This record gives sequence, C-alpha cells and structure tokens, in this order.
Amino acid sequence: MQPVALPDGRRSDNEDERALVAALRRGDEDAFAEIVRRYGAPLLRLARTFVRDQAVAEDVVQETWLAVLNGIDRFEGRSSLKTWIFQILSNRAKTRAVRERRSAPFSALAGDDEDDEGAVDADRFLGVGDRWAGHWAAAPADWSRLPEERLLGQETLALVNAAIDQLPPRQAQVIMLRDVEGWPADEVSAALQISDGNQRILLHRARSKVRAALEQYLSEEGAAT
Amino acid sequence: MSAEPEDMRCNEVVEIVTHYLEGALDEATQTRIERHIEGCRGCTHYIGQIRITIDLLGRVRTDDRGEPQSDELRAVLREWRAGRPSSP
Repeated sequence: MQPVALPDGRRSDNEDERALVAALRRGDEDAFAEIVRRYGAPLLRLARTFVRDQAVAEDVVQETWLAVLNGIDRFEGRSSLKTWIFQILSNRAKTRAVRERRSAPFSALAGDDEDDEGAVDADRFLGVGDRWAGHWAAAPADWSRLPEERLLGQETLALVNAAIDQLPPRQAQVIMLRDVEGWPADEVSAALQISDGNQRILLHRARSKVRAALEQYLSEEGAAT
Repeated sequence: MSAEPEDMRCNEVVEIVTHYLEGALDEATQTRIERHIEGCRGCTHYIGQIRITIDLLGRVRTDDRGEPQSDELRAVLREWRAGRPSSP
C-alpha cells in the first residue's frame, strides 16, 4: 500500500489533501487513521463544548467519522477537508446538544453566550468626574518582564486550559479553533457556520476572559514570592 | 498632555483590541488607537498581555484526552467499506 500523504515537507497542503481524499474514497485504512490522528483530539474537545458529557461527546465524534466516510464521495472540495469535517461535527453536536438539553431542563440556560460584560472590569478605570475618566486607574503589568519559567510553566498552561473550559460554549469553540489550533478566521467562521463579525466578537470576549484569568493568577503568584 | 475630545480612552481600547489585532478597524479608528497606544503605557502593556495570552493559548495541547479508540475506528472503517457497492 502506498504511504498516504504523510506530511513530508514536499507536498503542498492542497496536494496532501487531494491524496488523502482519494485514499479515503478507496477505503484506505491508513488514510483514515491519519485523519483521526490529526483531528481526533481537537474534534473531541470541540464536541465537549457543545455537549458537556464526555461519553456523549465521544459518541458525536464517532458519528462524525461515520458521516465523513459516508459523505466523502460527495465532498466537493469547496472548503478544505478539515473545515468540512469540523462542520459535520458542529452540526451533529448542535443537534445532540438540543436533544440533551431537552432531557435535562435544568441545564437549559447554562452556557448562555449573551453576556455583555466589558473586556475589563469597569473599576479598573477612572470614573466619571475624573479628568482622566475612562483611563487606567493603575496601568496593567508588563508581562514581558516576568521570568519565562513562570509565564510558560505547566501551571500557567493548565490555568489557560481551565479558563477555556469556563467559557460559554460559543466563545470556547472560537478560541479553541483560532488560538489553540491556530486556524485563520475564515476557516473558523466556515467550520462553525457563523459570520466573520460574530466570530470576531466571540473571539474578543474569549480572549478578554482568558487574559483576565491569567492576570489574576500571575498577580497572585507575584504577591506570593 | 491633556485629554482632547477625539482622544481615545483606555476603556475603549480594551473593547476594540481584537479588531485592532485582526486589522478590522476603519482607517480613522485605526489612527486614533495607534495614537493613543503610542502615548499610553497602560494600553501598551494591555495589548502586550493580549499577545502573550494568544501565544500561551497556542501552547496548550489538545492531545491530553488520550488516544482515539483506534480499534473501534478501524472497525467502523471496515464496516463502512463492506457496505459500499464497489469495495476495492
């Protein structure tokens, strides 16, 4: 069997993807194993932002793989294979989330995204009546001066991870794909089927909250030493 | 230095910082924010914090949920292939 489109630095992404799609259409197990290896973990994490239950999320991912295999002959390449796979997951996960919520009415309001809190607590700024109203009461810290081992330590990354899990679902979805997975904005909008403007607003809220969590953590740690 | 009406305030900067970093601001607002940041240590630090936040997010690994259940997935694949009209 020919090795399938393993990233070898010589193939462009497009060629790589065409080869993968062709192999999947042939029912090639290695090609399937390859897309599972690439996208399995982020798909599961994305699924968990729609349906909080781990087992249900795993189920949704499984369903997604079946839908990918069943639909690969109809895949037209208008979006990338990756975007298409994530679109399938987000559609299935949405449907599943609605169903789960119906059977658990108490969680119906959980994860409401319509918060309109500011990016930063209002009391960080000088109040109305001050000549410098709306300006920082105390300037934020310069994080570039922090020791690298503190800033990049496992504990900091664990805190970032926890902060993502605390976000409302749609904010978590956007920040995961944009900043954790490093996708460009247009691919994220396409995969989640939201407008570019909406994508940006959700990203903004998400980043603001993660920054605030980091600020709290880094200042506490600073005070402790 | 004095606050002029067209000066941007820090609490506006923090609300459009993502638009700024994404290059999504109109020209006039872009000019206002740049002029503000140039003279504001607090906002310079704040934008630095956002950039570091983005960098840290990029270092978070998603592969901490264990291996995908590859046996199951291979079974899914075999099943799917068997059901196809013209399996190779």
